[in-house]
Amino acid sequence: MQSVVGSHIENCPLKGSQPITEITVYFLVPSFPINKDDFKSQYEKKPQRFKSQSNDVKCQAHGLSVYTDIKDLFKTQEMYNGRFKHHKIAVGKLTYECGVIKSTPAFCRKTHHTWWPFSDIDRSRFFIEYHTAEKDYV
Amino acid sequence: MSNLYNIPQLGKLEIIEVFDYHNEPILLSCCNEKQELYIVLYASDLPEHEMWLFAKVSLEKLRLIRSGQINLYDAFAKPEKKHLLKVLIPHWNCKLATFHSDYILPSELDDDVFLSSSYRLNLTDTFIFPNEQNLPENEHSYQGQIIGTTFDFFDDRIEAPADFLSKFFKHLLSILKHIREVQSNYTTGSKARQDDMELSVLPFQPGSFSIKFVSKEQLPFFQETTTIQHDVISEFINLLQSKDSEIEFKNKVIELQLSNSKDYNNLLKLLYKIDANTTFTWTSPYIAEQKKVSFLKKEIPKLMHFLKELDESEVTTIHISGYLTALNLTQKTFEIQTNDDPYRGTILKDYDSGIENATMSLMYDATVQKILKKNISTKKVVETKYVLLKLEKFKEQSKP
Repeated sequence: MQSVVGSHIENCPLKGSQPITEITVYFLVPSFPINKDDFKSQYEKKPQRFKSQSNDVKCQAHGLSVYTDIKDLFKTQEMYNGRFKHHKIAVGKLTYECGVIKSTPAFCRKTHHTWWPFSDIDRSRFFIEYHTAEKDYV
Repeated sequence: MSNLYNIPQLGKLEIIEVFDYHNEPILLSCCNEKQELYIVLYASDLPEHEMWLFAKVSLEKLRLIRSGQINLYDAFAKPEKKHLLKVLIPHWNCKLATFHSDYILPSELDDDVFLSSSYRLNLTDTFIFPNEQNLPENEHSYQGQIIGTTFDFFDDRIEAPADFLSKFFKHLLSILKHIREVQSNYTTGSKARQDDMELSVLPFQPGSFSIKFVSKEQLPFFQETTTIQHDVISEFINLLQSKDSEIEFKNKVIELQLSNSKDYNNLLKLLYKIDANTTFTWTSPYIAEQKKVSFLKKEIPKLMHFLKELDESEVTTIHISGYLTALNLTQKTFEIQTNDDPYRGTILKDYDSGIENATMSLMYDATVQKILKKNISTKKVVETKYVLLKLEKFKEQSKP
């Protein structure tokens, strides 16, 4: 049976996470072209950072933040202008091959989800570049 | 090894609450081992570093941020301690970059690193800090200014006379109400309502003569520190602190219009009657520091004498226009030459509103307190003193 990232942590993925059927999600990447490293979780990038934090924090840091409504991604960029202004948007269709997902609404962005991918998949292959037009920004 | 949750200046940090999330907590509150509270923002991405901002907050301020009474721009752009801790953490794939953390003023940062002022958390639940009882600045959690008084009796008494305490409270409240009224006149030109300034007694510590009163005075949040320090209790402590210099003491009494008021004299008399030294403290929910002044019994006669001298003086406020001919900011002295006479005197101790930018030999409009000291028996004026209260650009219509 395939395991998802973070599943070695107690109660991870978080309670309420579901196997993915099919869902379109939007994801922020630092730049184009999309590459595999863009889809590393924060825990995978900086495990030391989370060492002394709770299991819930560690578990969620193994997941990736995706949004089902692109407007919420724009909102993230608008709110954290200094942080995300140069980021690009990738769009992907997640299916049962991809792992599990849970709706984890964030501040002002209700469609924020946490995606825990299966450990052995190339996460980037489910995504393509999404080129925004000015009119897309709300 | 330093990382986001282990910073040299703050020590190890534990997340208390995550307010916003994107791949990891990006807006959160945390506390260190000293139980100091911080709000934290992932503010910017630099070429080689992540930039995070840490603002130290009191428990009360954290509650105001959570409830949305303080917006998320002000939470970081107007920190209580005036500065923020800026932490630069190398991106995970920048192996040559190094960790930096340093204090910085918000004005040194681009505005786009802050969240917009339109964002407020608006959390409706009551936040209970897990270790609230252990907070060193627990007093800061009261939503009001706190004045503390400790009577250090010379003998080993275990009781304090109730009559003394009731009179002390009465005089203290009268002075605070008076200061409130004077301040309100200065700032708004209107009289403060009496019920704007009420005190409540906080629970007593058993076996101690420490009494703490919390003020119901409501202050605007996030004004400049200089303004915050002009709240009533802080101002009262300033008055007490001026006791070591005759000039400062008299200037403060004049500024607060206490020279003809019996309240201060009555309080001093009362404190002189008991065999104790008294310590006053001021604690604010908005500022982490505490002000403290110890009032020794043996100092009181000198202060009562100063008050008597002022009482025998005739104090009036006058407006003059003239050329600034001398200004010494170190010694706090001034001279203004009008068409009639030169006005020489001292500058009000707390007067700092741009006077250092005043230009010699230019015309100014000035508000000056004129103090006529009279001989007690002959009532003749023996000395005239001037205290500069306000200096403003000369307006044509007031040309002398």
